[in-house]
Amino acid sequence: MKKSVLTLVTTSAVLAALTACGENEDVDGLSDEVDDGDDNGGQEEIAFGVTPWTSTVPPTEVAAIVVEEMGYDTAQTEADAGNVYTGLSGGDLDVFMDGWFPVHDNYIEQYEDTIEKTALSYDDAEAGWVVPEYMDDIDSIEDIQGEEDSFGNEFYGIEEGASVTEVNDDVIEEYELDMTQVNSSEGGMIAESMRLMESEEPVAFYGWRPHSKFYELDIKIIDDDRGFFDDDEVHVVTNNELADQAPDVYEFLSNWSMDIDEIESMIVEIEEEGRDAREVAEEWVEENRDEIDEMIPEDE
Amino acid sequence: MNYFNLPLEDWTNWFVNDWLLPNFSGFFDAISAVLASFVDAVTNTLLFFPAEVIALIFILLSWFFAGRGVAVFSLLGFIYLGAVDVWIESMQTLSIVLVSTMISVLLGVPVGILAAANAKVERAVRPVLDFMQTLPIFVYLIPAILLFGLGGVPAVIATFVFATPPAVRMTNLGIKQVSEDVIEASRAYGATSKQLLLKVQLPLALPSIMAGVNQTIMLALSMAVVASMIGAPGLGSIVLNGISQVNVGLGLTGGLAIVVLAIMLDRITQGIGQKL
Repeated sequence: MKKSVLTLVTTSAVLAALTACGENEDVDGLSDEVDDGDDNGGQEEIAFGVTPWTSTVPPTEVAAIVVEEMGYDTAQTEADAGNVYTGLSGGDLDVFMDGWFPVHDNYIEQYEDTIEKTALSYDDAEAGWVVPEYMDDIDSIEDIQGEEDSFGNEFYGIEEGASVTEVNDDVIEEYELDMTQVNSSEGGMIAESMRLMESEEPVAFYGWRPHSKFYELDIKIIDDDRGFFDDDEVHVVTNNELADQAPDVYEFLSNWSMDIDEIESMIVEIEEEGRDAREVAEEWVEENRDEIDEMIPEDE
Repeated sequence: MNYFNLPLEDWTNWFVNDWLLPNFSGFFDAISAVLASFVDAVTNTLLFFPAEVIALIFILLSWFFAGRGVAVFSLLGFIYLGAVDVWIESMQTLSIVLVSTMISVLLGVPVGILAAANAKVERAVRPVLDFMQTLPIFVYLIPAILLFGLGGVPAVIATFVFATPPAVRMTNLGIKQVSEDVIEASRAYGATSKQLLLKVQLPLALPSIMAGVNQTIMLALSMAVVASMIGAPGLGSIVLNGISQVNVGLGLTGGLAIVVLAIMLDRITQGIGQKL
């Protein structure tokens, strides 16, 4: 568990994200530089944007394996969501497998001319306020009313400026909770919650599925009767030019879909059992060949 | 190269989760509470006075130690902080910087003195300092939260680890640079070791020590954004906010405020070093 938290924060480092372009040697294969007339060179590179969220890794690895089978090189660049969308828009990145909607609507609006939602991956991603299972009396956000003291009047969220940070503030206001949201990062939030759960103290934080913390910690998403947290949809987002540059990849991605359970099971293998992400993905591809074949366009 | 398997990962996890946290969480909570009230006290003091009073104090300090030009810069800087409405955040950042600098200096200068006096201490301290300066911050950021909770306290701890080495190094260097002749002369006049240290070596090393303090403050300010990732309030969270929303303007607004504070504190501490 700690390992995943550590990796998460290490990677979620915004600073790291900022310099990621400089560090990643694969970036010199910027997609728009690569196509110099060679229609089907077979050596084109498809660049995947990878956010530090655990949910991004499995679908990205699976898609990368398939795209490599189609004869392309792939590269993965780590950055936080904002930078991934900026990279997609500028053409440095071609594909992002983990676009969350409506949470990421603001990015799609900002870059509507250059990026598009290509396929619906799954539409039953849960998100919301999370408390430990040992808090028997708290089953909905309303149950927190009047109990804010025991939570130290604090709610733990992810980064300052993330779209869900505003939503959490709205929740606090709408439910008239006497709480302040403390923002840090995914890893920071989880570490703080774990610290408090160590001594079975009350704690409320933001959570979403798929996420391995639901396997590692006894926690529950509590009800939200006022509809702040509907199930999210996860889409594949691509740069507009991908359809021209690599039509077969584009078609494969537009057929993409993957079960939330499948993704969570891969996350657990990667994080719980410390297995190599690529290896887990390869195994999955092998076992689900039929499903993959249905997504791949027929030759000519 | 994989001759044998080093289970460092498991060991560390065991050490932190199964030994350190269960046995010492009370101890760390106590440290955390003390530091938190300290940071809060400094923040509240800075915010208690009207912004104009704080600004005036810093402008006068700039004038006295660094000259009229810097005073004008400070004035414009404070007007900027007010004009982009980041006063509270600036004071929150300033208080974390002040508290961590204070701890760094209180612990770093004596260690530097010891290292200058004793070659064995120096040999032991050096690799520790290298370690503190180069171990990526994010490696100890999360353990800091596990031990001290979210907020200003882990930020102070992380800043302390990162910003203390120059205080130690420059103190060490400053004392060693005091010329042999001066020391011999003092000895000849019958100075005891204590007198030698307090009345000769430390005063002569002061410019170098102040240069170390100056570096410590600069490093502490450069941690502002990182600190906001572990829940410390301040200018860093404005920058982080800007970054995650791809709001370039907001990022620059907060970033420039950090630069303003940095230049001002840099000039003032440099000035103090030269005047002394």
